[in-house]
Amino acid sequence: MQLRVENVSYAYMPGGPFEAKALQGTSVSFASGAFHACVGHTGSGKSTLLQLLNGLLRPQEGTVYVGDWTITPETKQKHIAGLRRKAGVVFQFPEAQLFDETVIDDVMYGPKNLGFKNDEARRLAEEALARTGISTELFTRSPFDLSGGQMRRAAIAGVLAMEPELLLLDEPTAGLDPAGRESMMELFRSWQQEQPERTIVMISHDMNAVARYADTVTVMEDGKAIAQKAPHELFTDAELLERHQLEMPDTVRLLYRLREASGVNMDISAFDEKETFSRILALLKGGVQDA
Amino acid sequence: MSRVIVENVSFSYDGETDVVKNVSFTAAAGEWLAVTGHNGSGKSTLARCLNGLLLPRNGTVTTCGFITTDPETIMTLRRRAGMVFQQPDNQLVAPTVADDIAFGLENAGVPYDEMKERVEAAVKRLGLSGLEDREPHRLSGGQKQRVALAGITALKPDVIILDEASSMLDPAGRSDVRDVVRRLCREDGITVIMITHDLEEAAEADRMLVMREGQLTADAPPAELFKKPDLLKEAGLVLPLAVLMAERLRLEGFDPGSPTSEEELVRALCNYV
Repeated sequence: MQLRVENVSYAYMPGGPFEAKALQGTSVSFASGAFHACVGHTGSGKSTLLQLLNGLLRPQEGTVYVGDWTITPETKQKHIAGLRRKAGVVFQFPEAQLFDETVIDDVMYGPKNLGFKNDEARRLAEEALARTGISTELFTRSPFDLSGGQMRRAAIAGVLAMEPELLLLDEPTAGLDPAGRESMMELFRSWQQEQPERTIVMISHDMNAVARYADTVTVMEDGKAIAQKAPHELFTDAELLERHQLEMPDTVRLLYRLREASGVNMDISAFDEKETFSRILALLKGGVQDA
Repeated sequence: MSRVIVENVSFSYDGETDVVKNVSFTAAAGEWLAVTGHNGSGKSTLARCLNGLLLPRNGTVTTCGFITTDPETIMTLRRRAGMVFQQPDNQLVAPTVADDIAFGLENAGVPYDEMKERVEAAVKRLGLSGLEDREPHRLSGGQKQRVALAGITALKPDVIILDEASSMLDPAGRSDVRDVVRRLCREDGITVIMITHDLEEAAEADRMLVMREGQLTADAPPAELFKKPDLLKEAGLVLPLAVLMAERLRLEGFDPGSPTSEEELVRALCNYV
């Protein structure tokens, strides 16, 4: 699903003494069929951008294009009702949104709401739960009896069961341990790559995950998208990262420090352990690489 | 005397399955302990046993000289052993930062003048100067956790327990919290017990405890445990990148020493270049 935001502004409590400008005339686009990440500090406007992309908020100025929908300040809610089923949102701590008596009922709720018959809704729910790694014997349990990690998976299954084309993720792995983070990111990537139109926009502070999984990274600052680059471009640009106080992924930072300390020029764009190790080995064995 | 003494502690939520199984350890004055393990290993449950939020099914916990099962002394115990939780939003209660820090003091019946002094000292110590009149919910995650820590510090505690207190924060917030915890431990001699699944965070502790399926499977300095990658992997923990790289370099015949941080590894490797 193709996404485009054009000169969009949005403020909370506009005009009042507590007005907080979240987006200030920003423009950015996200290509269909890719995994996009959005980084920036608290208050940079990332979460507001995400909520504009599924029509939860309407722009106060400018235009948002999401697939076939066009959202302007004048757009009525009913015109974008159909967008909601195409754009699934996983907010921070989605487990807080679980509510039904059993896991399966909770996940079926979305598809049923979209008008699917009971059998079809059940099939969609079972598929989504299987995909998120919730085993069958948990289907009839109360979602509140699940562990924290399982609750989050069940909540994400509830979003996937509605068969969205666009997945909007806000810090989906916050609070998970390393193994949980990795399996969750693998889940999102494989979902995205299954169908050509499937698109993800993910907000994250986890630069390791952003570097490894995203096709593009958009940097937000003071309510504007100030850069959009491929991970290997962004994360090797030490000066730009420093200027915007963004972290390097662990792998890049290690290689960067090694390059600075040794004075030997080397390629520092490595996002996994294997690649990082081979760069270090090459350096130690004296095989200087071209950066 | 040890500030925290955990003896043969078992805990169960449902009365059937123990999520903490026969755990024993102690923490001395001024010591920094990291309790590590994956989600569901029982480490947060153990943390809640330390200040009597949960009471053991078996065994005893003695914190700051008070046994946690004694209702007479539990409030004193909790003032001497404060706890910071994972979610910064759920622990701030007052309309301003200063009021929030004063909240615990007021409950403890500290006289007004002394309260004012202690709040000012805590504000300074935690680097919150200028934020005294701000609304806590408008602060960043790292600032919120520092306000929570300031409220505890104002009570002049002997022990601070951090239950994944930085896992929800961005990198800047994380190093923020770690900086103040370091000062509280190393300069003020407060015992720190930090629950975390991040071994880079644990690397700075004096001792690292590893929890696995409710059991304590290791208790040693981090540098020693980093030499046992299998034990850590089995516990669902991921070695810090620098430790992992050093490990693999050894297999290739290099001797990078036993670095626990990126700086140490970089320094060791520069000898080769």
